[in-house]
Amino acid sequence: MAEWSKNNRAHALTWFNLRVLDQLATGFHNTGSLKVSDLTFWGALSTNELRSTQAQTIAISLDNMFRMINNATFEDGADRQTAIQQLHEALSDGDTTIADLAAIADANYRFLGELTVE
Amino acid sequence: LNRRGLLLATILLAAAGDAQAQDQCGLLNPERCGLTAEARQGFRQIADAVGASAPIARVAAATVRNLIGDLNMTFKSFDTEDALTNGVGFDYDWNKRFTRFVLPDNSANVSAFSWGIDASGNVAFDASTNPRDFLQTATTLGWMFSRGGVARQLPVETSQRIQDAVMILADVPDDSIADHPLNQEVLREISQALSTQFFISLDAQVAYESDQSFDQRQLVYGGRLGLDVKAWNPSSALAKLNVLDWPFALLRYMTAADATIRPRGSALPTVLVSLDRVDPAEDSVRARLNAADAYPRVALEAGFRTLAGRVASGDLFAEANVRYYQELGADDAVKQAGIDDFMVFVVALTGPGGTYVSYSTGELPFDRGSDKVYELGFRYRF
Repeated sequence: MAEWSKNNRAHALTWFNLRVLDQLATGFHNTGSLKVSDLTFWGALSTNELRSTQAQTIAISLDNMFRMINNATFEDGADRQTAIQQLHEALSDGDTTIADLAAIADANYRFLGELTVE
Repeated sequence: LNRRGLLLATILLAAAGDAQAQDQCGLLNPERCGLTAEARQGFRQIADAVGASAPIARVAAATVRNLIGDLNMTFKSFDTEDALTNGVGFDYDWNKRFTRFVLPDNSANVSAFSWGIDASGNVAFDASTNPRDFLQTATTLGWMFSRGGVARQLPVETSQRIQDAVMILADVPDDSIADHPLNQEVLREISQALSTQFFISLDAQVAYESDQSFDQRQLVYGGRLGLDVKAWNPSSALAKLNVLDWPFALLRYMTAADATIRPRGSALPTVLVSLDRVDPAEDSVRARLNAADAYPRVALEAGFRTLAGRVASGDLFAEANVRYYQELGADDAVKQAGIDDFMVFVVALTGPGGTYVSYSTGELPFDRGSDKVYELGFRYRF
């Protein structure tokens, strides 16, 4: 599992945006170790194709929220296409932890007040 | 080996040789592949046979190196169970996908076109020794479209205020956060900027299947339409009209999972419709009806999942899934046997720790019989 820290803006905003999208109801500290299969959209009865469609919707929504609600920009070398594709891939794998998902957000988006790591 | 096959094999082998380190298993170093002495000798003979055309092949390989960067090849020897025949050859698996996104600035909208090629197969240098004589080359066209979800970009000052509040809320315990005034204030502010998201995807695939000598071949097709609508703004009419979630909104309120009775627009069902060509080669029922030819079939799947409430040990989720299959142009014999259409409906209640209980009715077609839907019951995570 990737690192999970409340002082990391990407981690905190990934957690809260998933709450806004009704995908989880836990507090921050109990969320990092949760898996994508614990999110509300993940139906055990559904086919992979149906879950992939739902994962794509959530991936696009997270990107929209990071950019338009949180006013994040992209890290150097990252762009919207890459970010959406990586989020979709992570959300299509039930074993991805939320900390792993947040690490993808951290790698692609630069949030307000975030320092650039050279 | 005929001339065309020899050239193709040479190009593939030369390219694979370029792509692999010189000290790895491959045509140039068959002794590193863990093969038997006979197999190694076979590779040596092939290497000698293609040696004359190798320079041409290497030029061709260099030209297409970018295209075959995703090629996986495994050289191997084939041995049958009775050990009467054996041979050498390789299997291959190659795919390439090109995706073009259209992403307007400062917008929630997304469009994307994709085109992909997938090829895989099992090739023996002597076709008669090939135990799995099957090649498939498929091309896939995809398109997806998403509109809405976030209606407008918030000012930087508002985003900063939300971010500061979220950092504070990150320290609030699970059971206090929903009623926390700061949480409610932030949710209110964000919700005003949310709208309904419409997502549509369309995929079409055509595949050419054959044996390695192309004596037997067939064209296979399929297509899929996906529709996912999410009313992220809880005040929107569509969220309030999600009647499937009404009973669970009440349960959430009664179990204190939600502070108000609020149907969720995020729980609108997702729908997939697909058209497939089904090959019932191993369907004994159809064989008895003399209806074992491949046939077209439309399939529909709809899935729904929502938070159903909260108990002391965690959250409860309600889930429903329906699948319907209809054969197109079915024979009378197939219709009379009742195997031209199938429907299955499953509902489940999932609890903390991975336990769940479910009810299902209907049945899946023979070729989908191993789907997870028949594996339901109680489940425990150790």
